[in-house]
Amino acid sequence: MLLIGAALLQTTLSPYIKITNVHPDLVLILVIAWTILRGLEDGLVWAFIGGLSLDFVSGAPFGVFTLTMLLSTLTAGLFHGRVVGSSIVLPLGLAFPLSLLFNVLALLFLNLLGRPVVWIDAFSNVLFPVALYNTGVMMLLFPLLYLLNRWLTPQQISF
Amino acid sequence: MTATRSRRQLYIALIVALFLLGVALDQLGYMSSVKAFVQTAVSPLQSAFSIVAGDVSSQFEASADIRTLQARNVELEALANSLMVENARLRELERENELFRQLLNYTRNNPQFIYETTSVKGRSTGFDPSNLLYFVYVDVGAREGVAKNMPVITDRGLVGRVTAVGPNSAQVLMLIDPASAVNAIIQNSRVTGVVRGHIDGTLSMERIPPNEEINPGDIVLTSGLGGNFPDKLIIGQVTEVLQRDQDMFQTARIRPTVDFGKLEIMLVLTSFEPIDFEAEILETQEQDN
Repeated sequence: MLLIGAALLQTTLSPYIKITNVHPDLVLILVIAWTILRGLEDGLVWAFIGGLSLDFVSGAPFGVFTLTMLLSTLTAGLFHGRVVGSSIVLPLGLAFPLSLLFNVLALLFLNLLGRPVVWIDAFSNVLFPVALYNTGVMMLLFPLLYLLNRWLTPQQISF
Repeated sequence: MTATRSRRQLYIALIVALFLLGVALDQLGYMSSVKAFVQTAVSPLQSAFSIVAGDVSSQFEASADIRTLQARNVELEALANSLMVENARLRELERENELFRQLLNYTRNNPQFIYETTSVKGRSTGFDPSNLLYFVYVDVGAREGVAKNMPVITDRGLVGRVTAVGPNSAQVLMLIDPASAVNAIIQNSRVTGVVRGHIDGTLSMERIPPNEEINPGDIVLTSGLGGNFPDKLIIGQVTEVLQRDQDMFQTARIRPTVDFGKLEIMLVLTSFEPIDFEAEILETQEQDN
């Protein structure tokens, strides 16, 4: 529900939350954060649902976002369990390269499927600004997901 | 004792005499100037007392009515809230009405290709979630007669074309999408070119012959060439002309007249029958090669 809601938010709110003509990839941020917190298995489930949600509401050929989301999640899964305490350093450090990876892969697939791409323009005007924006939004969302994760999996007290 | 009594009687007689004198003077009309003098002397004091008395009185009244006022205040706050909501609703209706009026005027002013019965009004329901694509979704579809490749406009100009149709919704590829290409013409000089979108949501007019003169401020319209769009639809205005020595063509940056970030109500031109766009592109690419 969270991911579908995020995908719908992305479609409806995107014009209103644009900075320098780009908006954050809310679904991607949620999936990356969840993967870092919960591990690859949970992350892949979220990536699948999140990617499908994007594919259903996007004009891109079906499957592009599911595939790129899964590939980005596989990369994020390598870093599961390396969050120390409530440290936000790792998610913040990963948000930028994984956002870049996600959008570069998506653009590459779109290019292979026939869309014209001017890569220099894409990097300077969209890919880097989006990655920066996503990093900023990760700073806001990760603590919330961290708390959600703690609420879902309460610490067991051993005697 | 006798002296004291006689002095008291004298005082009383004097007071009565003064009183009678006063009455007599008043009757004769001589007291009015005295009264005016006294009135002038005491009026500042009267005024001050009046203010203080009024304040004290109102304080008493306020404290006496405080419960009534509180209840009234609650009622008024509730009324203000409901009026605010009502006002917001009316503003929204007014804005929507204005949009519809603009579209109606547009269709009246452009009867050559738009007929009220053959265009449908669609409301945007969302944009593409990706930063890489520029699609907008409208709430009209096949049931309303919308078909693939039909042009979509607002009163401010061309938005794009329909790329996918559902029963009740349609997907519109916006002009600013990199996959969009529209044959265009400069209004004054009649120079032709192709308007393309870019990944950052900007527009440019390409393939302008090198010797043609174009200037910032020139209006760009659809040319109708290729049959994908009707002619004379406004696209935008030239903001900058780019020509390097090694380039075969000139390129102009275009500022679109449509605000693609604030699309609400659009018209789908169901009366226009476009030529297959993809076949056209393939043909152009083959010619280029």
